[in-house]
Amino acid sequence: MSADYDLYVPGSSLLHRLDPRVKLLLVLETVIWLFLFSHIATALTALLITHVLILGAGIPGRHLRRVWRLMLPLTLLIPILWWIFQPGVGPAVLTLGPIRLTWDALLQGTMVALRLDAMAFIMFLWLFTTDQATMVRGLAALGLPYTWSLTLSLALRYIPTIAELYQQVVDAQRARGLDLDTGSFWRRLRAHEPILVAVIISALRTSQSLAWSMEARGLGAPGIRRTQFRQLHFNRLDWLITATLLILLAGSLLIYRWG
Amino acid sequence: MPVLRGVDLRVDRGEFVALMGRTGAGKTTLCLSFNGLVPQATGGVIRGRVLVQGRDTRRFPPASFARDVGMVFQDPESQLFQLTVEDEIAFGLENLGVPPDEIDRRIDWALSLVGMEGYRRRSPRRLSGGQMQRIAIAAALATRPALLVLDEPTTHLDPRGKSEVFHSLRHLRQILDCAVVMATQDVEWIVSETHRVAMLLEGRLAFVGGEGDGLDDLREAHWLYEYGIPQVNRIVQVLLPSSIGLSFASIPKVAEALRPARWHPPERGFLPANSPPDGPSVVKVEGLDFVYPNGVRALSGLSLDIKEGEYVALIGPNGAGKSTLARVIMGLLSPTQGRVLVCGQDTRSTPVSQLARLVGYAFQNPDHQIFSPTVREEIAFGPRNVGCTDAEVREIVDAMLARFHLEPLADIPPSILGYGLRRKVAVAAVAAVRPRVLILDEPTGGLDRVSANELLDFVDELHQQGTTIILITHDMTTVAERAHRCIVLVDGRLLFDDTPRQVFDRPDILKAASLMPPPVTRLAQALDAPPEISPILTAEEFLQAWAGGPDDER
Repeated sequence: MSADYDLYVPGSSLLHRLDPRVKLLLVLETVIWLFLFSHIATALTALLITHVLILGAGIPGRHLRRVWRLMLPLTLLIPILWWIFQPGVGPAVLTLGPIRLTWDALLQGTMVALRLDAMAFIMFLWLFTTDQATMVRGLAALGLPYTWSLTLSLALRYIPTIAELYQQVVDAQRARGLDLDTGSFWRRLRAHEPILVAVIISALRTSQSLAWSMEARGLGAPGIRRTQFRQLHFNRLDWLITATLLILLAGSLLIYRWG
Repeated sequence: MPVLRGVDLRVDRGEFVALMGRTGAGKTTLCLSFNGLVPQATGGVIRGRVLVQGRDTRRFPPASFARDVGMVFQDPESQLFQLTVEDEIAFGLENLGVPPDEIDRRIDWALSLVGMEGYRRRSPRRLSGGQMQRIAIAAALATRPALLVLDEPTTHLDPRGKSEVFHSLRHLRQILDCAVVMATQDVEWIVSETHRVAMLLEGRLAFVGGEGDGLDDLREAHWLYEYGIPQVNRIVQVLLPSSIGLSFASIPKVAEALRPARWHPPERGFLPANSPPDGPSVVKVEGLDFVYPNGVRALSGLSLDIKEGEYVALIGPNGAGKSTLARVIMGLLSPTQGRVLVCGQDTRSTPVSQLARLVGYAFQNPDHQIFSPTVREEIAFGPRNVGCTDAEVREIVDAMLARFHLEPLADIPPSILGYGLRRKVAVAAVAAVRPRVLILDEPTGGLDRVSANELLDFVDELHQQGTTIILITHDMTTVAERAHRCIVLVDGRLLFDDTPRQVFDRPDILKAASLMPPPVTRLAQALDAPPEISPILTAEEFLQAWAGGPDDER
């Protein structure tokens, strides 16, 4: 009944244990590389490495397939649009009606698509190996104000709840003979009114008792400086990887500038 | 209209006070006043005062009482809002500025109080109801409050979850000396644990009493019987009228007072409570398997034949597949394997809007269906959907309003009514379609015994008019007194399918489904009722078989 909204795949691999901020740096740096060296070889290498890392972290292959399925439409659409609108110059390798395909365009279109895929995979690498609580803590440690990170964790916590609630209400109203499937578009849209009203009333009820519960547990107690229980700690490995990533980044920038 | 009137109550450290009363008697309001949420967050006017550790709750914000008062609410889902259990418990401590290493120790300590060590990194959302409430208790206790307030914490739980929570409370009471105030309907449990019972009757504290074991000295008042242990209260009323307090005592105590046993079985034994009708089948389940898209197998190899006019109780622990089965019958879920026929129509090929004319389904939470601006329109929604004419709709709605005594509320938005009334409106709205089969999912959850019986009497009426009833419930008293067939599901499989008398005669089945026989059955067992009349299912049967009972004309 409950769909899964948490992409996190539990595990204890190196990537799982790494500080979320270090992983975020890895994501950012990979994106920078992909744009600094915009070549099909970079994109392919990044794809290969992310796949190895994800599988190496013990994430089952079906999660990778899920990402590919998600990315497939874009992966196909981008090169085609590229070939149509950026045909490039030079001799045509292939002519399909109005489309004149040059070698250059062929490579560029493919590169742009693969680059996007690589970016998606490095992002998913972060999402697969970082649980939501750590993610929120990571963002808080990077300076996100407490109310923002509380709001973010509430959103992450309650999205599945609201989705379940919505399904319950749909079921309850259909059981009372509400027909959501026939008639014109407008009729069907109007048929959702009883569902939305009931969902909103229920959600308001939940949020009211949620607010009471937070207040009862001292949220906003006057004259007290809030502490934070889980502070993220960089261990030696985190430092080592951060340093390596930063050196690599500096090196890459140097190569890009003068190489 | 005042919710509470002239309430005087003093709770001392180490004391355990049970707060009882009907749905809507003001229990929640009183609970919320202990840290100033009433009136500061809820609005409203308060006269008199509430002092917690000497501080007036109106003079300080509710958050400032977090150190003194821990609060546990009814709905587990809306009070656990963090992504991990440890964050949940840390939340209150962080708000109070407790240093991190101390928080770490307190998390372990609080989890050990409720017996949930090892759950620190789990997501609260993925725990069972009983576990969620235990975490809520741990979170409330982590700040070491002087007072723990629990507002009907077991209402939404199945029997297993209930006993988990009660055991945790018992355990922590042995360790902590904080005062506990718990609003509850669970008489059977509280009598063995509490020091005092405080009874709210329409906002007045009608009764506070019972020191230690002395719950017997309850003042004479007839309504007290209604709140005693269901079924057993009736027996006390008839056989031991001078010791009214015993209707609140534990079953062994009542048994002791009744000894020596004076069994005098009726010559022909008990009539079978209700002989199953032999009508045409209305719901036929054939080799049903159901697997959710995420791979969870909810039902396996289920075959059932429910005849027209039956009253079926569908029982089993949470997660056994009861609600899933109801949804498959309603056509909301399509079988993975096998099929379901409702009045001969295959649910796979019949639209739900069509099945809704045959099957009514009152969901567990009334708020999942209530949306109309008035009670009248709420009830009219179903009949209109299935194509009744305006005149018919008006007639049905008027009949329902009258039946449920809802006329004075007909033009009020149902969403602002109290829980008990919302529940009534929801059931009335489903019954208004006049379905041939009525499925009720925990219709009495969160209701006091009196309101529950009102609702169940209405269901009985529908049943007598020929409606087939499928009742999903955890309340074995209801099963014993009203159903004639019991379907026990465990882990999506059919474990047992027979009369209530057969089920309550099978300790093995009850154990597998984590169920307990109804109170009167246990009382009879404690008094060694002879096998030819076992198990006894109702108070009336008990009295019939007891020499010197009112029906004993021999």
